[in-house]
Amino acid sequence: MKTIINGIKNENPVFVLFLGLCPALAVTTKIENAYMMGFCVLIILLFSNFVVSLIKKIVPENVKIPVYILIIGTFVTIVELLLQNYVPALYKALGIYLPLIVVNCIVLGRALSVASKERVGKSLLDALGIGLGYTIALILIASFREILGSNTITLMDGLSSLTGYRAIYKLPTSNLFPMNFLISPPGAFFTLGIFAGIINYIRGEKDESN
Amino acid sequence: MIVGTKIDAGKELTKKRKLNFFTRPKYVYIPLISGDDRNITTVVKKGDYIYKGSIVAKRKGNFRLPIHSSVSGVVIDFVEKKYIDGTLVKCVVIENDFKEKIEEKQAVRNKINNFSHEEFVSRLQECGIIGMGGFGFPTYVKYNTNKKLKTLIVNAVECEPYITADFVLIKEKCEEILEAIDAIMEINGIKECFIGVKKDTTINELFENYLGTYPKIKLVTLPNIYPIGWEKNLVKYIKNINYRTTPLEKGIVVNNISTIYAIYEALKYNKPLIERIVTFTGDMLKNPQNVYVKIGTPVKDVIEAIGGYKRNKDVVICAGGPMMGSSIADDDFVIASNLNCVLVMKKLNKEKSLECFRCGKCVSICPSKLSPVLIKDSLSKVESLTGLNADKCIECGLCSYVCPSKINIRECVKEAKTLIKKEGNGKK
Amino acid sequence: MKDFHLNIGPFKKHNNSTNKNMVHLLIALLPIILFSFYKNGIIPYNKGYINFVEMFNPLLFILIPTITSFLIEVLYALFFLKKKKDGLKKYLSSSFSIFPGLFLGLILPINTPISIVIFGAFMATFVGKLLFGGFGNNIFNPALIGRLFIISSYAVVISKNGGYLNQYELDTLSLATPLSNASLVSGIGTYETLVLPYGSLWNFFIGMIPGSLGEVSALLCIVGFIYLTITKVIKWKIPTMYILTVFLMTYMIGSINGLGIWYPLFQIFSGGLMFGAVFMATDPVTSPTTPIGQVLYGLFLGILTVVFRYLTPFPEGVLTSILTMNMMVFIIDRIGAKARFSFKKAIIPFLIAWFLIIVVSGFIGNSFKADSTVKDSNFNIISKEIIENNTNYVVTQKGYSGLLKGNIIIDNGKIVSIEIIEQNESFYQKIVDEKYIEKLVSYQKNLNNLDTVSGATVTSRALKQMIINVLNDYNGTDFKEDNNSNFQVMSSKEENGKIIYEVRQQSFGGNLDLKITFENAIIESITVIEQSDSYFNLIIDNNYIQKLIENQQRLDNVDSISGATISSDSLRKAVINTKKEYDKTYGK
Repeated sequence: MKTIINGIKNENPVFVLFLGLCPALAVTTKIENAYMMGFCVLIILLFSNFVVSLIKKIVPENVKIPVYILIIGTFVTIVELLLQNYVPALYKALGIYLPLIVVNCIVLGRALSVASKERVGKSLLDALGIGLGYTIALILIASFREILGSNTITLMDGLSSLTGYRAIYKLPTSNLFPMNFLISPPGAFFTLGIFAGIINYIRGEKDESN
Repeated sequence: MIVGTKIDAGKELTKKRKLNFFTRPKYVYIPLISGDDRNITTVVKKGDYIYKGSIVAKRKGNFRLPIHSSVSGVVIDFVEKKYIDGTLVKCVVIENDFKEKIEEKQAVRNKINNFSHEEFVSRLQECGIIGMGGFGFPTYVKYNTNKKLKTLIVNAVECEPYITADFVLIKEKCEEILEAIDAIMEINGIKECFIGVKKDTTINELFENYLGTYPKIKLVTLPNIYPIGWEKNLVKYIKNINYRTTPLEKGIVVNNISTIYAIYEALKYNKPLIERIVTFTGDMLKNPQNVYVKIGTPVKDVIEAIGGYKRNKDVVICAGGPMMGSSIADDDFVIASNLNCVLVMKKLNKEKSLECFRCGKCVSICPSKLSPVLIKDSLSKVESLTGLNADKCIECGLCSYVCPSKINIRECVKEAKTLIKKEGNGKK
Repeated sequence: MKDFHLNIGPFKKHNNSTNKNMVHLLIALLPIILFSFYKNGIIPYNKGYINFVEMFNPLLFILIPTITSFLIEVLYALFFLKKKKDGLKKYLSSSFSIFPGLFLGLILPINTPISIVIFGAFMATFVGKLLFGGFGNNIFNPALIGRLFIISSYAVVISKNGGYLNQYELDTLSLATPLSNASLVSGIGTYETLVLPYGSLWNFFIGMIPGSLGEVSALLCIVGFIYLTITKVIKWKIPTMYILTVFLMTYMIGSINGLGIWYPLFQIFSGGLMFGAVFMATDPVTSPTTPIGQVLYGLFLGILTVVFRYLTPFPEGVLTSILTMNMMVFIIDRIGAKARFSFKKAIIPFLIAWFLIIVVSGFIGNSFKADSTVKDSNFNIISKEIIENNTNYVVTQKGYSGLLKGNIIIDNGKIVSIEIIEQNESFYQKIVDEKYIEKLVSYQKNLNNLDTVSGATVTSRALKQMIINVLNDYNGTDFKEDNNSNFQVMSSKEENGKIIYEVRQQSFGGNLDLKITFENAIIESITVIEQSDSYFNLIIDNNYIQKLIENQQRLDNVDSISGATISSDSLRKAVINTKKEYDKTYGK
């Protein structure tokens, strides 16, 4: 349990470790994209950590990285093909960032630092924690950007081909909102900066009080 | 173009007063320090009788200058007294017997221009002549060269506010000074001499009277800008020459006019540097005036003798002029050979300095062409400090003077200087 | 009991202070604020466009962001810096706290809604100043940061409200700010197209042109500059070098294209360059401190502004160039500090700057020249006289055996007479027999469909080309294209025997989306789906759409609506282009 909380709070990949920022900034224009991306990363993390920690003893030191990338790539391709088939709209929305999970620092980094050293159970829990942390971070950023930036909340749009259910809520517009600036790339960096600042400030204060 | 600024002079306090004398202190405390060097060996011990003008200590390192006693009497003790930079320094305590006895009576020379070059240099060294304008650089070093000296520049402008020691000296001893200059020129083969003065009428008239006899000496009027008395500025303004480290590279020697008078006394009477004029001035003194004092006299006694303070509380006493001097915690310090002013003023309101908003005024006013604001920002990185040439600072204080946020930026540059020195020493 | 204190440093201090700097800056800004009140409040009130209370809008517009930024700093000082009463007073009176808001009010378009202005002031102070560490530590000019946030998020809202024009200008001028007008004009523009619509250059100088509150008056900015230089408050080298560089570069660009001295003057008086150079670029915290650094800063600012004005879609380059150079101040200061001892160290940046000035101006100037030279090098305009709506061309075109010299008179956009003054053609009789000149006049709108005269092919082709080149020069565009790139057919479908087109035409404030229904090759109805033009109400008031439908067979003769010229022109062009599309698909 502690590992999971650790992954969400103390080692949150986006706000604390600042890893895997590229998809975090690019796909968070809609909440749905964000949680689907997080979900994909979670699945891939789970599987790859599982496999890596199973074979960690038999992989020689100097070919670790290519082997792990191969494993991760396999799972990414599987997820990609599944998405392409069942939810093509979402696949298009995630675009290039789905194949980029192969070289996402989080997945590879966790594989190298945790899964290749710990037991299977611990690696799985760690993957779960990190994946949840990543998803939560992405959902936070996306909700800020979408609610303030385009006055909508998209909970389920692309997935409608699977679930047949659509949930897009439109909020009332005013002079101030929507703020187009948040949807654009600079707005993504700005949002990330604000969240990272607040969360690290809170963590800093907690450390001081400890 | 001379970089600097006009500063309100404050000289009216002491200009018109006649020179006063305080030459009978009960005790003198001769500070055993030469420049920055406190590594001095004494040649007297407790109980010895010492004559006025005799050597009490010798210096081991570079620039060997002996330290002389300014009175005749008995050596009582060795104590630590405050020096003009606020730190404690070991002093020889001599009890004055008021007899002013000199060890061996030397004949007074009629003409002072028949020294040879080597004799001249060694005479200056034996008499311990140093620059009396405030820095205290040994004068003999400036003449101790085989290079051909072409020009002598005499600084009579006294650009720092409040100080009038040179002014008063010139009024009394103008003839002797000119005689000395002529002698120096003859001994060292210098062809021309420029005396730099401000636009003040009394001194100029005085000079004009005597200059007919000395065709090689010319008077130059200098603008009333603060660090015009700095060597580099003088050379640039009068001769339009830029030098790299010392004016000696271009065959120029710059001397303060009080130093010239000290050279005169050394050449004529073989008298070492044991007495000088110090300006005691400031709003908080009852009678600000110039006083002729002996080296080693406690400042407390002099101030008492000339009338004392206007008030006792919330005053600042400063050794040196208002721009380059430093304040001392109390008045219990001694006159040193390079002290030219004692300033007593009201305590400044300690304004808290505000944030620097990078107006760039300190950069445009620095005479050494430094960028103080950038030096302040890179105090943690010593490599960049050398790139910014922080060691060229002359500590004139103009940057702190002009800062609108009242930041003590000169202190930051001073700190940078010490950091560079430490780094240099560490590397050796 | 003697009580001596220790004080540091020089015991004489100069009497300048941060407070005095702030006061001088406010005094220099005062004429500008008063002028903006006069121009945007008193004049429209006198002409009856706004009521008495609304007259004070400009003053409120400046006052509200000032107070906002002040309050934000108070909150910051109280909660973050935890200052107590006395320290608070001192901090606020010397941290330039009102200036981000004050400058923001002076550079925003006047029709910005107040909520956005407050938000902008909050962003300017908070992000532009406080997040970086408070006063003295910010890298970017805070007022420009605030304006950047607003423009990137709310440009459409602002232009819907009228953009930069106050109520009086909305009614009398049918154009936008001078530089956005310049970007719409084809080619480099002429005195008539760039300056005359606003009056004369004198109007630009004193500031009776559209723009934001503080930017317009060049004269008052110069007065402020002189005052601030005399009181030694600002770094005067920066605005001098900035404006000189822009003047020099635009002068070179103008003279490559044969324009006079009015062109660089036009460029430096418009676009808020004067205000930006004197007040924004010289913000003490974000500009270099060394003298040589300031000169370099001004030079590069000028180069960047010219690059942004001509080579990017931004009409005014001042904001982006200042923000970009703010990033470089650290490097520039380093170079400047080293260069104080030996100028050699700063030679390279200066050489780069001069190189860029010459190359960029040459490049931009030539790119304009290449656009405007007609594709036909055999064509020459000898003289072109413009008298009100009449343009009188005397031109030459290379014919079969010599030059053809013609006199063509264009009235209100249409050729009314063609007279061949000189010709040496061998077979010219054929041209006369076929009454080719008259045909040229009647076919002037679709010369591509006019055949050449057999037996005098080259001559007739040359004559046709001459008319095409004259029309090209007159319209400034390649009239064959008819702005195809600004027109797009979104969809077309058939419904109940009618053909319905959904088309998009680029217009004044954005895209114009129309639905045009054809029945039996005749336009039955035109509906506006979406538009973002500021003056579209004039189109509606004048029943322009009805006019277009009634005159659909001779759309070229429909005049545009004064006060909404571009919008009505775009509507008309959209209908013309749709008709062409229809004819192409469904035949005649």
